[in-house]
Amino acid sequence: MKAHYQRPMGRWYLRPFYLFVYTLRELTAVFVLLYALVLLAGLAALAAGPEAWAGYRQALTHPLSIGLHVLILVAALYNSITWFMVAPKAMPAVFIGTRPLPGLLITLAHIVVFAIISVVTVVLAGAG
Amino acid sequence: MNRGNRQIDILISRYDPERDDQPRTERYTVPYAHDSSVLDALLYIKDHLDGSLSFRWSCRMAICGSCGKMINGVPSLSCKTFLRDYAPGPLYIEALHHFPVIKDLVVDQAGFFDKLPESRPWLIRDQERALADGPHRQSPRQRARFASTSACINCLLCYAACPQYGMKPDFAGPALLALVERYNADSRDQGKAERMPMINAEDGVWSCTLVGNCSAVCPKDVDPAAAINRNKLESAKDYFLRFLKIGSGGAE
Repeated sequence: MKAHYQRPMGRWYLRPFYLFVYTLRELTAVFVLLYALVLLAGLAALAAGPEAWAGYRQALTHPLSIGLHVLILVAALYNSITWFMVAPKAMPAVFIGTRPLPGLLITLAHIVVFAIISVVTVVLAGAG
Repeated sequence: MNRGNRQIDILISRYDPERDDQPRTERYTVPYAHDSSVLDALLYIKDHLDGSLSFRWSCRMAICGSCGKMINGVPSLSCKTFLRDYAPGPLYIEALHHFPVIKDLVVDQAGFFDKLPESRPWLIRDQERALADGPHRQSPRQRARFASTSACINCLLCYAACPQYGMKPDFAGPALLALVERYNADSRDQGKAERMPMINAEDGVWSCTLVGNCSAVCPKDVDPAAAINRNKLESAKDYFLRFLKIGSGGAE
């Protein structure tokens, strides 16, 4: 008798759709890394002196840079929100009496805190 | 089975190890009624159309965990999936993904059952309680801590849903790690340190990338993804405590 049949994995990261959604979530981390590099470049420019800093700020206003930032913003939002959606599974279980705290409530709490901190940051940055 | 007067086409991935190199698809037309399950259809095919079709089943009521199949690409219990939801059809049935296929819809489950004892799925006590001391008392709150993970029926749908298990058959996988959590969360158990090596291992919780599909397909709402990812925190804590030489878990 022949061996058992082992089905190949194929392009599992594209199909079915829910695995593609997972693949997208993982890929958005690349854009988060890109933004960290942009910030790091700014820090290096600041350390190098006023001229380098002015050059860095000038480069940020280039249309390509603005386009990249919009892309990074969308990717980072997707990354954050999809991780908030799985947060109830990654944190210690919370029970009220004998009932587990609903996951949706945990996700919403994360999103609300995230929105508040974002608004406060934008206001503070605008004031400074 | 109530035969009904409607008909639906079912495509089945067949594999005969004595003549096939890889699976082939065969089409069957079966009658069905409002309450006909996919398992009813498979039994109809075996009884009336093709007696050579092989598949596992037992209880017909979603508690034995035997009849899991891929139904239109989704791991499902065939007794708990109804033909009416797939009208007008056709629907496509395959053996559970990620496991070696023995014949037709029957898979080799050794990848799960061989690892089962490693999770030590029983109550471990430092000192066995004497019968004369009476039962272990447990409050409803303590019981609630493992209510969901104790509902597992070992149907292996979560393994068929997990691409990590598909790529790494050595991965302990969703149901086993949920079972580890079920006993660790039990107030009567004192065996957590014995189970930590399995959690800490590379083939333990750290092979999970939180796809989350295991929990989505679970017919018993066990939520293995939560059980696994909560134990990443436990594993990290265990590592640092051992680093400070006050823990007892140990690595593989």
